Amino acid sequence: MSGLVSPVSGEILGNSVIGWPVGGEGGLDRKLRISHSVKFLSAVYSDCLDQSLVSIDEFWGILSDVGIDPGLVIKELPKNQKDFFALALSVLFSFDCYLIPKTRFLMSKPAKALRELLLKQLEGKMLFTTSANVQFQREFCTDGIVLGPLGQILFAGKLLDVIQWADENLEDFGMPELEDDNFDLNLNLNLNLKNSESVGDGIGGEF
Amino acid sequence: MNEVVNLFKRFVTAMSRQISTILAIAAYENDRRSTTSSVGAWESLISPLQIMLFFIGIRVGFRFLMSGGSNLAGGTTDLYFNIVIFMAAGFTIYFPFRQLAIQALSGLKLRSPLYYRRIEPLDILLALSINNIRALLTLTLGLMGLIWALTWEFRMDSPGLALCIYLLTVFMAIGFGICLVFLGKYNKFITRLIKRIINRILIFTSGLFFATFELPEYTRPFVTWNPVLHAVELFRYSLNNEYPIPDISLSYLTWCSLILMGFSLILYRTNESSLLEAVDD
Repeated sequence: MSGLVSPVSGEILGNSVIGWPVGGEGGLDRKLRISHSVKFLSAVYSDCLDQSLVSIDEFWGILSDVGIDPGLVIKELPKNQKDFFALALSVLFSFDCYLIPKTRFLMSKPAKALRELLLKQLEGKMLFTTSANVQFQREFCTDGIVLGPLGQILFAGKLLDVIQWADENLEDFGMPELEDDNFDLNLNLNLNLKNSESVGDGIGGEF
Repeated sequence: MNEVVNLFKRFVTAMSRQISTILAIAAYENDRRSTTSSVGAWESLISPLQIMLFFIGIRVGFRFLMSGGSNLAGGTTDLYFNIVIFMAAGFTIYFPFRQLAIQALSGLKLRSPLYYRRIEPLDILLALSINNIRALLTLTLGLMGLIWALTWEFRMDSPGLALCIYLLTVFMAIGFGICLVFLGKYNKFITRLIKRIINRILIFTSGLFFATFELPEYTRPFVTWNPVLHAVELFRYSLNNEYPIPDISLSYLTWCSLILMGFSLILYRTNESSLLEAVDD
C-alpha cells in the first residue's frame, strides 16, 4: 500500500491518493506547534485540502471546542488532546483511500464529532482497516476478508457473512480473536473492508 | 497534440507540488528549531551568524597578534578586500557545503516527514540546503551591505560569474550531501570520525582564512585539489577582478560539480529505498 514494494502483477485502474494512517502522528515532530503542523500538511497535501468537505475554519472550530490552541506545542498536549488533534488532522484532508489501523480513539465518545466528519469525507471513497472493533465495522464497512497466517484469503464477502464465518471458523484454525490494539503485533485476522460506494474503484497507488 | 499538452500539464503540476513540498519541509525544519530556541524563528540566522563572527574574530585576532598588536586587518588581502567581505565571501560558499555534509552524515535527523508518502529523502536534503542557503545569503548580503555602507565602496565586478559560482557550489554541495547520506547509515563511530575529518579538511583547505596567492607556490597543490577552494576564490574574484587567483580554475570547479551531482543522483536513484526509514507511529 505504501508503494515501497512494487506489485508482482495486476492492473492499475486509477491513480489515487492514499492518506497516512488515520490518527497517526508519526510524521510530525513533537517540537512543532499545532499551527506549524497544519501549515506543513496543508502545503504537502494542498490538493486534498482543496477537495475536502471539511473547511479549515470548521477544523479550527472543532479544535478550539476541545481547548486546543494553534500556538500550543504538540509535546505539551495531554494524551487525549494529542489523539484528538492527530485524528482531526487526518479527517481534514480528502483522500481517495483512508487507512485506519486503530479505532479505539475514533470510536470513543470524545471523537464523536470527528467520526461524523470522517463519514462525510468517506462518501464515494474507500477505506482499509485492520480493526476488529465490531461497532466500527458495522458503521464504516461493507466488505471483509479473513486472511490466514501466511496471508492467504480464507474467506471474502459481505461484512455480516465475514463476521459470521470468522465466529464459526476461526477457532478451528487456532486463531484467537484479536483485540483492536493488537493488530500490529499479530495479523492473523485481517479484516479488509471498504465503503460501499467505492466498490469498483481501483487503487493502484499514488503517482 | 493533446497528449503533449497533457504531459506538459502533468509535468508542471508535479513540479509545482514538488517545490511546495520542499518549501514546506524547509519551513517545518525552521519551525521545529524555533520552538526550542530562546530567539524563536531568528535561530536559523543567529546560529550561522555566531559561527561566522567567530571565524572573522579568529582571523582578525590572529592577524593582530602576528603584527605585534598594530594591525587588525588581513595582510596582503587588504589590498583587494575589506577583511569582513573577504571572510564573508568565503563563508557564504563554505558554510552551506559544510552544513549539508554534516547534516547528511548525521543520517538526516529530520526523518519524521518521511512518514508521509509524498515526501522522499531527496526532498529533505533539498529543503535543508534551501534553509542553509537562505540563511547564509541573507547574512552575507547583510554584512556586505553594512560594510559597503560604512566604507562607501561598492564593488561587484562580475555578478554573472558570482551567480554561476554560487549555483555550481550549491549543486556540488547537494551532490556531496547525497553521497554522504549513504555513509551516514553505517557505524556511528565511523560517521563521527568522517564528520570530524571532513569538517577540519574543509575548514583548512577551503580558503576561508587565506588567499591562494598568499601561499608559496610549492604548497598550493596541497589545497588546490579542493573544489570548494576554487569556488571560494572565484567568488572573491567575481567581487573584485583585480584579485589574483593563481592555480584556480573555473573548469575544474564545473567538472567537479557536475560529476559529483550526476554521480550522486545515480547513487540516489538506485539506492533510494535504503533511506526510507520513517519514524514509526
